[in-house]
Amino acid sequence: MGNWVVNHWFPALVIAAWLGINVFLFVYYFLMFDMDEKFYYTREILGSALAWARASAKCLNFNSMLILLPVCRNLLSFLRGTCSLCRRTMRKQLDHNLTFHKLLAYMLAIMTAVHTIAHLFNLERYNDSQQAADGSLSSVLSDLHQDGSDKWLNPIHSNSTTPAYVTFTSIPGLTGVIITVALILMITSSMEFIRRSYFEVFWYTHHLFIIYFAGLVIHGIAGLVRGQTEESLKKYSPQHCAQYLVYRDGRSTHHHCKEPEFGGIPAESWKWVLAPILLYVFERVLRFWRSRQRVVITKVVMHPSKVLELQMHKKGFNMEVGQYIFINCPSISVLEWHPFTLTSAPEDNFFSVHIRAAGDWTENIIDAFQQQKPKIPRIEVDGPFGTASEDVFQYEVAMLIGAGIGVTPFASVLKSIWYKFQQADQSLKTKKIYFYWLCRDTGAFAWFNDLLASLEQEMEESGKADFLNYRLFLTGWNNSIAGHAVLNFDTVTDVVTGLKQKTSFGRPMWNNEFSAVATAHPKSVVGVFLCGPEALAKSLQKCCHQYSMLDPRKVKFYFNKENF
Amino acid sequence: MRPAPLPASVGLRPRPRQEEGCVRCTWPRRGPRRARGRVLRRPQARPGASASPLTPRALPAVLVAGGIVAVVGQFKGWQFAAYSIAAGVLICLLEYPRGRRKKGSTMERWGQKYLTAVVKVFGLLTRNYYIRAILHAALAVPAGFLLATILGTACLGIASVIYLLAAVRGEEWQPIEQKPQERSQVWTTIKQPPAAAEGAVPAPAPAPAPALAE
Repeated sequence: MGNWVVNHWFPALVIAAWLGINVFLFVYYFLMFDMDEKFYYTREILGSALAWARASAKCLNFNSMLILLPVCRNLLSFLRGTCSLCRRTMRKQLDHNLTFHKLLAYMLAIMTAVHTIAHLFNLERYNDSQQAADGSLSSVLSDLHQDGSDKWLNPIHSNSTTPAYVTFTSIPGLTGVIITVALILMITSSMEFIRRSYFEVFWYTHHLFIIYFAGLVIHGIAGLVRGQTEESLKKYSPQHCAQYLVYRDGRSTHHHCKEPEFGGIPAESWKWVLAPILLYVFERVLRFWRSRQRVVITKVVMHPSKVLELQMHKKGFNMEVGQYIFINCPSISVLEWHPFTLTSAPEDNFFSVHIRAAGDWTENIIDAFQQQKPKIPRIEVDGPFGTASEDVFQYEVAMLIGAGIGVTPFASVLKSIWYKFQQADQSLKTKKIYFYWLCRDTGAFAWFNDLLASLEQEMEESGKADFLNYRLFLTGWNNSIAGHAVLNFDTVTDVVTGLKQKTSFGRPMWNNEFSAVATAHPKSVVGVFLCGPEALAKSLQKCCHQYSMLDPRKVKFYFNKENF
Repeated sequence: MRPAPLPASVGLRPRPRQEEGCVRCTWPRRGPRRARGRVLRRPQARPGASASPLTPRALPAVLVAGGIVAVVGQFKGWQFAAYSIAAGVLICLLEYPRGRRKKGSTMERWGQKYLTAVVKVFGLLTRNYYIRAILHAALAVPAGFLLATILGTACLGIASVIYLLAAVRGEEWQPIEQKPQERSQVWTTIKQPPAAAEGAVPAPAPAPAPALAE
């Protein structure tokens, strides 16, 4: 529990603050509309549905204001860069921007539901009181000021209409329906299943947010939510005058109460969302401008199993370990941007990505580079984004565990560590690395294989062969692979990978690994870094606790969660 | 010659194969959504992908919710709302079983197989997407008469258009059937040494154990 608090206090704080503000806004405005004298007559007709609608509207405004901010990735990068003095745990939360965006979307959905249901009741009640002729206060109020002045209370002025008709012939009604449908479409097309399998559907449907924000700003213009005007309230307070409205006979002349006058609440959504909209527009313009910067492709390598490596160069591009970029290829699709982890080290004089065929866009780009007709397609790059993983260099001993596709950021890390080691960089505290690579089959990662092989060779040449100790675990083995490996047990290089280090089959036994590392480095601080599934994270965390000694002079394992 | 024993650190637990197209195969789930050298999000519809998941269960749920509000509030014309609840529930049940993709395998929704059996019974009526499109459109119309359920009408209308487009592309609903998984009994066979093949040199007699020093 204590561990959880230490790792998660900042996001918990942010979420608590956000929820707190929502609750405060809801309760404050609910009470205001439910108890303020100004809305006494409005409540006569609508009951508490007025307060529900208005309170949820405030929350909708607040969340609509916030929802554009987490997707301004350039703004977030800027914040990350300027807040370098802040603790790294706080800056790392900027990586969870999409989670926050989804949380805001869920809140928007809930508040929209509340708001819509409350207004359904409001319209029904307005209609009923307009059509009622029983002399009740609500029907009297509905008949007031129906002469063309702007002082009416009930927005429905006809006796023979339906709420549906009123909805579609009034600005708030029509915009409300349109933006609700837009919101429903946006949310339903963002389900994970659709994002993974039909990304284009998600991407294009999500641009309905433009309609959502336009509708939101226009939604309150008509001022259909009415309260008594200040003047009228001062002179003819409802406490005194309400009763006289109902008795429309001669007795009502001896008091000073006249008919109350009403005015609409001005539209205020624009005040909430104007700044974020401008920031987002600026963000898109910035993305566009950055994408126009020329990207020079210095090398194209086709690896086995349809993996394309692109080495590129762009003016002013500075990357750090563990970051990612967005790539766009106008000749394939003008509007699609896809993220890829950088596989080169900052010390390289180029930056590279490895693109594997896993869908239409990636297959098209691989084909385009293979054929190169008429020439190499143009590439646009935006980035780099993401929190850098500098922690890797701070530990004397580092255990890096990459599972399956999670091995890609380690390409960057390993290369960078090697460069720093070669140059005897003072910021590098690492003296020994244990690298564990778990995957089902090495087919698509043959390029990583080559990287390890070249690192192996370079280390031998420099006489530092024991700097990097790596183990490969093939979890998708079968009879024939195992039999083959067993028969070739005595050969110098491994049959599967060609590396000096032998491949193991099945999953690693972490207890053995951790105890071996603890025995080899009894006095060090070991950093454990994982890029892989949650279940593996749990078992590694357990091992870290188990094998860390309480004595601060002895070995300690620190598990770094979600570093990539 | 007997093969040397495998190193002790190998964990010989056989691992069931994960389904192809399993959406759990990319990590981290909670971390930043970016590709590790490949695209996490597959951009366009893969050939053989079906339209059924594009009509999420949320769309008929809007109809049901609107109906409930109108019935509870006893709005004028609440009978349309009662109808909407029934129609919405029917469509939810129809939509629940996910259709099988033409290529690759599809994840089943929880508890789907019971409804799959029911939906299969109706044969062409539920399989064909043209009929589904017409059904959605037809069921949507009465709900359009009441404000509370008009959103539901819009949503069902959109679902109807999606089915129409899918039908034009020639898709239809196929039930997901479980294939019996063959568990390879790897660990039993690996204990047996390979049988000598025909014509192979017979294994040499094992070397005598070294004499113990007295």
